Amino acid sequence: MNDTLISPPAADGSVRLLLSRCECGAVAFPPRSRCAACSGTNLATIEAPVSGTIYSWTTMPGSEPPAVVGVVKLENGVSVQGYITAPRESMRIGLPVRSVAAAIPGSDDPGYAFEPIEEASL
Amino acid sequence: MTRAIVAGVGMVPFGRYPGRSIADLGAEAAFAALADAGTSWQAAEVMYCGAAGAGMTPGTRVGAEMGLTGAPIINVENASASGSSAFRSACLEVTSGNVEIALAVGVGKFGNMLRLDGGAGRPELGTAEYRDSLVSRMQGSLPPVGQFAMRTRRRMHEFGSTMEQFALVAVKNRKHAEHNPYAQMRAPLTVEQVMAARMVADPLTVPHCCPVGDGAAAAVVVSEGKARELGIRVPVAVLASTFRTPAVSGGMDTQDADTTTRTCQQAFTEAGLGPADIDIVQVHDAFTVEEIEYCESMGFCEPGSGEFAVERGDLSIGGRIPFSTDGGLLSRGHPLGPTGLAQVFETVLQVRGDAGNRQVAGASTGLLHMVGIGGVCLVHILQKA
Repeated sequence: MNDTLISPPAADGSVRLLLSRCECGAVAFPPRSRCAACSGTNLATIEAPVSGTIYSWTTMPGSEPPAVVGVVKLENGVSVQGYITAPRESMRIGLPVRSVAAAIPGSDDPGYAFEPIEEASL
Repeated sequence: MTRAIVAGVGMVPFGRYPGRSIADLGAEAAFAALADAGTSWQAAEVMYCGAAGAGMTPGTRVGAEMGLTGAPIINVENASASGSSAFRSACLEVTSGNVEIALAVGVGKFGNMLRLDGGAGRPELGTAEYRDSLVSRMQGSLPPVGQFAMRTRRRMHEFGSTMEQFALVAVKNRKHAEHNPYAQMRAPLTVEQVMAARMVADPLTVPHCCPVGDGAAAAVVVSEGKARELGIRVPVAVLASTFRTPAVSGGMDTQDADTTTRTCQQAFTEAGLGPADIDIVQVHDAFTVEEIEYCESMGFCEPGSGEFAVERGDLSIGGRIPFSTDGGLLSRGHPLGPTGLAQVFETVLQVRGDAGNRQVAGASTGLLHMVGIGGVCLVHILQKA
């Protein structure tokens, strides 16, 4: 079912989140069948940019070592929340990240996470 | 059209009551409010009950505990704003001329926790509920504290705020609660203790978060004519009751503040007042960052200056515009359902001059604000009539 939410992984492990885009221009994740801005029903599925930056972050209550969860502002301006595959100590607002395939913590279900982009590959 | 008058208030101190039911707690608060108004349960023409996650028809259970009268009982659920929503509905019953005496009660017990998924358990593969749960789990399924932790961190980035400044909100509201026998958390608290406490969601430690607990609160709302008939000593008029939901799907850090701004502006217009006319504010301070954000979005401080208002003591009893005079959600407590009515209880005590050692000198007008998960915001303005 998550093939309606994320693209198949690319060779480098990256995935792209799938967004809905309405005729009115409104973009949403998870994708919608009816637009939240104009109630329109003519929505296309588009792929999100793979890269973005950390808007803010926290740690999951009760996790040990602390699992990092953050909000990522993707390059097209859409904000998406998800796990960040980085230790708490290396986290900062503005950190560049990309979306990659990752099992959802606590299950084998495939999902996505954001991993820091190595400075060298920027 | 008559104004709505708060004729009486009652409250069960917030805390833990493992041996008492929601019906039992709600009935105690309701009977206290009815006695305060000099009227009776039999005279109440309608009851609204605010509760969240308390099962089916909690208010009807309160009513059954109080004794059968045949009056309609309407159950209201709006997350943290359930009690405020019940109060607003009671006011509208009176101002519409439908009834002359309406009762609003709020109840809550820890353990009857809010479940956003309706408590349906793990959904079946291939269903819409499964897709929702998958999206939620992919995104990290953060409890509310996680969202507020991210708001706190973002604000530090935007304005250079420090955790010590946020800690001062918890310390200030605890100081207010020390003088409130109805508050759940009354032991003195220092900034050092807040900073050293257990981490819940980075950067928020325990005292940055409101406690869970049990409790009940109630208010009797009557018409102006009925208030005269009952000989109410200090009638308290409801000058504004406004309710908005978000109109922009903004970021997590802007939606509540934006909705607060619009709900407050509407309330000020309805009351014919502005921020300068308000003496005391009860705010949804479930997390420390909120009191700072909302004092700005309500129009009491410039954006980016809330931290300094707290530092200067502007929001303390004795300061320019005291916030959370009963300790707020952070120290008076927040059992969800009754919290909005606890704000009514505190405001009525303050404008009557009955607030004891936490009395704000000369307070005659109070603003009450609650937000609830999912995007609801209610604001009331109460004034000594």
